Amino acid sequence: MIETEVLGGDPARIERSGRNWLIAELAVVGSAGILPPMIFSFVDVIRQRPFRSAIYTHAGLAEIPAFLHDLGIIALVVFIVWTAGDLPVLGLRFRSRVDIPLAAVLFCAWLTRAYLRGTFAYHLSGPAVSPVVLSLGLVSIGVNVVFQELVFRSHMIPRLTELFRNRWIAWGISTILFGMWHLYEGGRSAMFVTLDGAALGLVFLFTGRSVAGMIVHFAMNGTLFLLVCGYLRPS
Amino acid sequence: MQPERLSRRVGLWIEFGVVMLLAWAPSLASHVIYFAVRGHPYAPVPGQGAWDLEYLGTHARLLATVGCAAFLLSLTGELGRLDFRMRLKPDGWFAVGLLAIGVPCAVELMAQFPEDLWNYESISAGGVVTGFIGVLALSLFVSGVFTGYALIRLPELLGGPKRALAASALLGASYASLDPLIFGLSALALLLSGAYFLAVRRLGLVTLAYVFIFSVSFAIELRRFT
Repeated sequence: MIETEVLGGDPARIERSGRNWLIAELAVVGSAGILPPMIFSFVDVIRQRPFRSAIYTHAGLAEIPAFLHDLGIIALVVFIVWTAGDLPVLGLRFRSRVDIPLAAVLFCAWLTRAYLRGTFAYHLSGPAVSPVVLSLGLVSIGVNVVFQELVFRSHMIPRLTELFRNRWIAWGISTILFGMWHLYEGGRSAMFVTLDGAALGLVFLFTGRSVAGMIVHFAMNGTLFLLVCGYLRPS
Repeated sequence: MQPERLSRRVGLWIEFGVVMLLAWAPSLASHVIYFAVRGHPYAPVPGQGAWDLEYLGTHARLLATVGCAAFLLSLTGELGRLDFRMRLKPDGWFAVGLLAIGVPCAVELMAQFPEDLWNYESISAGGVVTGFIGVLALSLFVSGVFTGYALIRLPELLGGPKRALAASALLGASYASLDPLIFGLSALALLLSGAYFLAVRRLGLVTLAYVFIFSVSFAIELRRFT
């Protein structure tokens, strides 16, 4: 039996430096936030299921447990980084003069690409939903977007940069994992999502903030959700 | 707010909240939603009824939650308290007691499954392996989070082992089901395993007993669907 040596101590005061801590932290966040959905993605690929849009799943009460789980991952990442005294690396500061124009430019680029690819037509077949379900869905998408940006950009890029001492390697790994995470949408779509991930990663790399990425990511997913739910359906 | 400005107690409450948000809240929400929509208190708990390849992600999530709890314990230098070792004596006697409560609970739980919960026509060998991984993951999850982690943190947070024991049993039982009978039996099993953990500080045989209990429910499922 192991005797309890340490009953005191403050979470904030534990010395957390070195590669082992970094690897453990990345493994914990990765295994909780990235791995399970990636397994769902791979199973879809293995079974050659018709490609689907996860946007549909936000429309309903059944999404609440997943929403709570996303909130849990957000809380976990913020808590871990906060107790390490590193909260600024997450880049959660909002600077409207930079973040809003940047998000607007990226959103326009995405809209153009989505229009040319016919993405909007693909998302026109969803069920119509009530305004209450729509609101719940938008909140759920908001939380999901914050979760993805925190895990793939705000946490992963600074930590991997510290680990490899090279920010481009960190950016590359984050981009590839982000693309693989979305494989359930199909190979071609996942390729475009990888490009989106690369762009969002560059924004984080050069501004040191993730708010612009969160805004544009929410705008993208929110637009598709409104389409799915019949709120942006052309007459 | 700088973390060093908070007291240890507040820090631990926040940490406990994070773990429960990951481990407990989604399952409770599932039960409440199922009850509201279907009028049935049972929602499939991650790790149960999970002999489909698709559930590997769910099993990974359970194991990751145990990993999160372990990592957070390591931040306060208390990882050593999550001890998964075992001694046949006296742990074996305790395991027999836990099985006496846990097995009827598993049987009752399976009897309450709606027939149309899973519409599989057959189970592949891969599905059986996936299911058994689920049994292992769920056992580690229940013993690691609701017995181990909760009973390491809660005595300090609630001011005593008795309150901690009651709270961990309530949390674990509401994770399992809101059905009164299953809730009661699960709470009893968790009370027993929690009391034993508080006494000997070892989780090895607690986990093994849960493996056996969940294997029983898995075997019943297999029998039903093959």
